[in-house]
Amino acid sequence: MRERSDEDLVAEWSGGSMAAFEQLYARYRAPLYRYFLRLVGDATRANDLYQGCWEKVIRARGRYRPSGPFRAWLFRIAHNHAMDGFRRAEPVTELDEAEVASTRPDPVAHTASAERAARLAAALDELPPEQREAVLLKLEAGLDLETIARVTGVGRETAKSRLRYATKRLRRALSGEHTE
Amino acid sequence: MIDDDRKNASTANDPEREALEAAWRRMPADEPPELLDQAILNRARRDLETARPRRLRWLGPFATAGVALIALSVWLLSDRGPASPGGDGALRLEPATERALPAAPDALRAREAADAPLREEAAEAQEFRPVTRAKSAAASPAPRPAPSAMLQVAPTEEAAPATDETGDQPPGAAEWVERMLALAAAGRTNELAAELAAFRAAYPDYPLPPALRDD
Repeated sequence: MRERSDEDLVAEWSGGSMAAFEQLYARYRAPLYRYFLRLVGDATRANDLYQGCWEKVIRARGRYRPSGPFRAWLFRIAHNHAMDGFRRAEPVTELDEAEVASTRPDPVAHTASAERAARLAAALDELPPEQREAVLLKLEAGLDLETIARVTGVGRETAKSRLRYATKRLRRALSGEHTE
Repeated sequence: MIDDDRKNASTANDPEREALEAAWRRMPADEPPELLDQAILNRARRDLETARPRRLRWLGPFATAGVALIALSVWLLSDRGPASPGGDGALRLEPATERALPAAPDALRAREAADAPLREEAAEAQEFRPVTRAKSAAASPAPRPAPSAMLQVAPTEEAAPATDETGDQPPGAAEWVERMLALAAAGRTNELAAELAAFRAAYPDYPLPPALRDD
């Protein structure tokens, strides 16, 4: 049986189907959570942002129009919610390597690839927030360039530039690992 | 699903980008705590539960208006007036009831149809006298009643015995005699003969004056 589209599920959810919402939630819970977690680098703040974002989605479901993909709508809300969080909270402090490692799985269990992933995560944390968000929307949410620009409220060229710089720095981090 | 999309998005990339995305996929697959999942699902469930009555809120006034309308209709249909003053059992319908009749159920319409003859009888009983008077007036436009009209309302068989028993003369007979005397004096013999014949038919025992007797 063909999998139901996000837009169909939203329509059913708006019609009162809790099962439709559960399916939608199952699809987006992990990528949305990782978006917040890797954007702010702090599990507690990520939890707050994640829950607040879903509450906004639940309240705003009647305003969703199926002219655009649900994924873009969802991450647009997530972006706005994160920006509100940044404005309210203190500026995100850059975490040092030890703090980053504390949010990761047990370092003893690291393999070479896991170590590379950890290095990538550290490089991600070092990116400026807007570049970090651009790469998260690309690699975590799977949005294309135009949608990233729309979601973050910037022009296409700006989004492209952010993404290019972020990718370059992450690649460099991976290359540095190889040279070590 | 999103992870699949991420994989698909990487197909056309250069080796460095592929390496980057491969490393990205090997990053810890962090997920929200289960308690957070439950809190959000409960929030969505509560939202749907409160939204459902909100959507049906319009039903309340509609139901109330519907019940009131039905009650009013039933009251109007059952609020027939009392029996007619004459106690003849005829039923009277209020004007509002008659307006409501087309919308009434079949049983009520059948009942109204059965009542119709009674209503007509009652109406006729109420209107009999005036209608008769009107017909009489129309039949006798002349201020003086014609003899033929008098014959219609004066029973010939019953008036004479009454005259015999009481000795009183009907006033019409005396006037009629005077009019015939006037005709005789004027020499209008043809008219006199017709009047006299009519008079004798009406009052066979009335004593005529000598001027009007044949003998």
